[in-house]
Amino acid sequence: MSSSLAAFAGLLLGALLVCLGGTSISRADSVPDWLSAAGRVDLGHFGAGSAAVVVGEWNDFTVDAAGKYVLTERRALRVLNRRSAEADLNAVGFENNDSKVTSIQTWAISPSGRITQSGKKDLITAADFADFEVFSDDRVKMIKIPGAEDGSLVGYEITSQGHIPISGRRFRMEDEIPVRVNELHVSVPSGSLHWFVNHPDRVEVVSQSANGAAFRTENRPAIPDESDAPPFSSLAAEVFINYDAKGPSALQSWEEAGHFYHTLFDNGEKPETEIAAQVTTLLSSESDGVSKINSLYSYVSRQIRYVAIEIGVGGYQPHLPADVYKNKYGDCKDKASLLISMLNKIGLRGYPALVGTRGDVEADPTAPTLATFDHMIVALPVPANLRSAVEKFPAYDSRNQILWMDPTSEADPLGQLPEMDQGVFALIAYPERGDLQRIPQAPPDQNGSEYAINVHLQPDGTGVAEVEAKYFGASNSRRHSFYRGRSQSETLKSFEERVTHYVNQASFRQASISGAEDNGQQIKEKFSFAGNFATASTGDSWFFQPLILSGIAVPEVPLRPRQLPLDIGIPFHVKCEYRLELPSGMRVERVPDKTAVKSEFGEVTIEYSMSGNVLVATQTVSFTQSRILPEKYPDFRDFVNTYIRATRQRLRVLHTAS
Amino acid sequence: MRWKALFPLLVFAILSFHVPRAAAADWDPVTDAEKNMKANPIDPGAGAVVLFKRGQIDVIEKSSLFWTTRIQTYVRIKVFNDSGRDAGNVSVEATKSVRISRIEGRTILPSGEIIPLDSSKVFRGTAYTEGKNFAILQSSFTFPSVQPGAIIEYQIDENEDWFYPSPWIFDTRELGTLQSSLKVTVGPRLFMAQFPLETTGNKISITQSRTVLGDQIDFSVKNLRPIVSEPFALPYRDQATMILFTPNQLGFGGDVYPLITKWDDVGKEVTEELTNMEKSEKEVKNKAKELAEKLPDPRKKAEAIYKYIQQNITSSNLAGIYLGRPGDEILSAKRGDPDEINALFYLMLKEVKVDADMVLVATQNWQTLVRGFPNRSQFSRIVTRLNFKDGAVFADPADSAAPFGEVPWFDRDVHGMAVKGTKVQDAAIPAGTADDNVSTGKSTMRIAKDWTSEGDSEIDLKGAEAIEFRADLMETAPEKLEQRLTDIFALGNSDAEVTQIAHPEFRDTSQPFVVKAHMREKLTNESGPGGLLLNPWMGDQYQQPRFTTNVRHSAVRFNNPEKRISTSVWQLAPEIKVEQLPKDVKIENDLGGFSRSCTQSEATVTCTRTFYLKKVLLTTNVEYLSAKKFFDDIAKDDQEVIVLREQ
Repeated sequence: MSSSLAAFAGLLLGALLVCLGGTSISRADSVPDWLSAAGRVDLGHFGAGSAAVVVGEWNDFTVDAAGKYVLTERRALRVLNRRSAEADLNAVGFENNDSKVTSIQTWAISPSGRITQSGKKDLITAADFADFEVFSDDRVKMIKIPGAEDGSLVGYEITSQGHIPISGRRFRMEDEIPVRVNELHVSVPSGSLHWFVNHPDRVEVVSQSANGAAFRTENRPAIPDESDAPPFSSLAAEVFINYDAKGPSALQSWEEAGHFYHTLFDNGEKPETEIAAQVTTLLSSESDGVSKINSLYSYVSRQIRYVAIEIGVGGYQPHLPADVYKNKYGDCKDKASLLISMLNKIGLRGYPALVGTRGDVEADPTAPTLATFDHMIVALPVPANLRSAVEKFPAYDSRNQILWMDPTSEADPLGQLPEMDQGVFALIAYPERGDLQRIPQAPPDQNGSEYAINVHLQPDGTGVAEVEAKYFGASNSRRHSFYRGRSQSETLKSFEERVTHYVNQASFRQASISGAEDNGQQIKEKFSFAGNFATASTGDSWFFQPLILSGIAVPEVPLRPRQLPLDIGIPFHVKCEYRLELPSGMRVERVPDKTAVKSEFGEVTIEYSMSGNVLVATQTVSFTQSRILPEKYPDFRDFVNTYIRATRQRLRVLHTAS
Repeated sequence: MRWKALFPLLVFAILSFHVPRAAAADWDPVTDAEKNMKANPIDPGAGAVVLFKRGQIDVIEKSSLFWTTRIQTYVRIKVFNDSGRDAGNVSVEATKSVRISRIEGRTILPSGEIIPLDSSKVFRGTAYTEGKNFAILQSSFTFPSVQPGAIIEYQIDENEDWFYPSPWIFDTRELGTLQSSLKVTVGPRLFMAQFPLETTGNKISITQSRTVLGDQIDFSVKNLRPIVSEPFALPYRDQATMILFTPNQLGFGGDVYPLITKWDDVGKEVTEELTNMEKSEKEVKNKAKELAEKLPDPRKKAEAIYKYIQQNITSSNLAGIYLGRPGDEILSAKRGDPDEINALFYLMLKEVKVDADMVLVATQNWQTLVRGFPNRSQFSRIVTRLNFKDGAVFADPADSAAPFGEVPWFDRDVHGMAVKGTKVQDAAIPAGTADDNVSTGKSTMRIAKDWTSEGDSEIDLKGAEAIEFRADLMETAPEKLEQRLTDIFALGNSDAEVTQIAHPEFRDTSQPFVVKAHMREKLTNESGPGGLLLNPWMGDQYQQPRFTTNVRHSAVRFNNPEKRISTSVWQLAPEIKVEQLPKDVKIENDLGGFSRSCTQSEATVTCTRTFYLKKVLLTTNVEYLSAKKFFDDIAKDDQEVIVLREQ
């Protein structure tokens, strides 16, 4: 009853707002009580130096027996630096075909007490879908808070209501600016509730019952802004809630979450005669099991175009495989669903696996929820007779005998996953239960690049270089994607630009690329260029840097200590073998000593030797960890710097007689 | 004209007329040549090509004074490979005054099988709305079964109840186009000026005829290459091939009414809008008086108002000209579009009797003004001209970082139109010279025996770069500012320790842009035991343009002329001797110049480097290649080092 009243009140408030005119300037008593109270909070030095401080945030989330939620968000901010606070001065409510923003209002109280209240003219509605989507019903209703200045107290109140197909959502308790108080009240009067907190040390549970809970954070500093850090959603304290609107079955484990999702995934049936015929055609020339899987995977990967159209429950539920097959397009769920259907035709049972992709959302194993995933792939339990054939695949989990496949990728071969899937958790949705598993991460020797470089130097330091490059794992897939989307002129342009990084006054000569058509093949590039290799001349001698490709894939490691882990991507290796032919009658002043470092972060080896008038150099580096903890960062920095210094060595070339 | 500017003109559309249901589309037969085409003839290896894009615009008087504009578009695309399949995703955006009455499409498979676009798969939604009146709606669809070798084609009908067609662009974003044409029919009582905007490589052919519906003009162009992203390129509107429209005169009741026949008519419209803005300007007037009434001279008054607006009113940075909101509303919201903010500035100046004009400009990053074709849609911004006794000064308080009397690079070197009541007056904003945009770097460093370098460094910026950089730093929260400046001084050197950073209050644009810091780092550019290669120009290497490709599509347009001067002083420990200094270099050409030198006096080495750019527009390939060589040579010279050796 109370939730209905709240909803009604929300609608009434919405209706009243519609009647408002443009931005209005009001008397001091026209702001709501919660904002007035926030204005009396003495922040002291809390948040000094920030663009703004959240004085208070209060969210109330109620779900009625029919599953309709009402969310009221109130937020009060103190603006400390108007120019840098622009991003914090937006009141944003999210809506789609299932949820509506029923009211949105903002206030700004200047230091002199002048109040500016938003009006209808300030309301902006905008589509809110990502570049990769062709269409989505997601929208935002937004007000760029008018009247804010240095020292202003600004506030907003947004009420929204609707249905959430997965019966759960997440609430952020911290922010990119300091938070004095953040309170969340959740209530499911006619049903049940389960909640989880990803950083329990930062969130106080004020009260809890079977169908309600209240949470509070206080005096939280801003989440640091550091490059190459894990996703913000992993760093900020969040409360995840799962609810059952009218029963006792709110999700409380990954097993339940997976089962629940499977019921959502199972979207009915439609005759799949055409799919069956396509499977027969594809497998007509395949004899062994893995070749058959490969054919089906490759078909969905390459022939079904990735097109994301997300409307209502379509954000969670795939289209029927028959429709996906007919259209020859679909999003990740659609492609996974079609592949599962095709595998089923040959007696293999694959399952949808929800993924929180690397760097974007990354599921927390301690917080079972369906609100933490943004991608779907396929988990295929491999029958005993096929295991030996897939055991070398980096995407095969031998402990659980599961082969992971991501048919959304148009560049990864069977047995390999795109970087965004590797090393993160995925929830396999079996019909009867879910199972959260960590997706395997390829070792460094199966990801990276290797180069063979021959340089013919002239007496003046100019010369010609011939390079052969080959790629492995995710690096190979990236090259496949790169070449597949480029015209000849674009490819030429990319080489012209690339060689300018290696040498001065670079002049690209020619290139050939092989293996680009078939994802299963290794991309091999051969290219040559001329240029001036001398980086400094000293009379009749000159200096040059033998390891001309040394800038490849080196993480940036500034001196500043890190507060957050550093994500350097999945493990990889780079190997370069140089043969630098010196001009006749000239020699290098010295052959550098060998550099060899082995640490918990990887391995570096750089070795030089002379073979006649040819300087031979071998450079190998591998990074074995993908995420460096802040306390390990100084050691990691030393490791990287040792490598960088060694690669930047310059040698003097002088006449033999000198 | 900003999109929302169109709405006052919707008076023509008060009456709602139903658009007759469109007949099923007529599709041109697919030719054998189209079927058999295996590669893009104008961009080999590209994923797809537009075989043809046909437009038809009919501006017809349906009944007395009720004009409609119907725009029909028919596009046929050939897909060559996987990457070209993305051409099958189409999205059309239009203001809500435009009714899209028909979208039809089909995929023609290589086998000849035809798969129609399912009309239920055309998704319509809201891209953007603001307030009650302004909305952009979006229609999106994706073709089924798109595969290499397939042909996709679609037809769209759009209708509006007025006679102001938007510019027609013959190009297609990201794709080459083999044939692109437009047929325009205009009813007999309307005179519509049509201006073909060609590019150097794309010539529009034009034929004219008379039909029962009115005058018809056919435009066509062939082999349009895709417009690609290039550094220092002209804006898209300058690279595209298009037709601009302006309704000039309307006949009614035996009389002819002028619409837009000359630039004065544009000025008149803007003045009328300003009148609306003045309807609520009590607070604007009060604020102007409070800030400036008691100040002694016009310049001081203007500076005070400028400073207030710049520091208190946040700009949306939207391009376009439409003065739709009352002055008091902008002042209280502390937010406005750049044109509104400049108009507010103008009103406040007027209140305290400072002689000024609003100047309409097509900014450098928008398009080059076609002076021979009066048309409001070409303008993207308003700036302010202050007519002081000692000369005119241009100002743009919507730019939060420009000091009074300077404007950001995109407002410079453009031809503006100053609004003088119902008239306009030419108002060219000068490009300035290299000496107006000077970046100066100074450092004095001591080098110890262990190759540790320590000392003070200073950056002093003036002009366009100071404006850009200040704007960037103003948006950085105070607690993060030191971190940003540390990274800038460290220049990517992971070993550099940066301390004692001193900087001005960036929000006060009247303060000089001078930033200082103390630096300490271990130099690691070793040339073997006991030797070091010291690059005194390390910080300058990435500061000037660099071109990497030999083929150039767009003309080159640098933002502004500029000069960069760096001086570094190196005080060497007694144990260190100089083995060699870099040779002096001096290059001069019509583009600019470069010079550098190092001198030694006892244990002190002083190095200077100067680069300047005086020419900003390069239109020919010869000029481009010459510029490329110039910058390549500088890059090579910047690699030269001081060779130091332990004694």
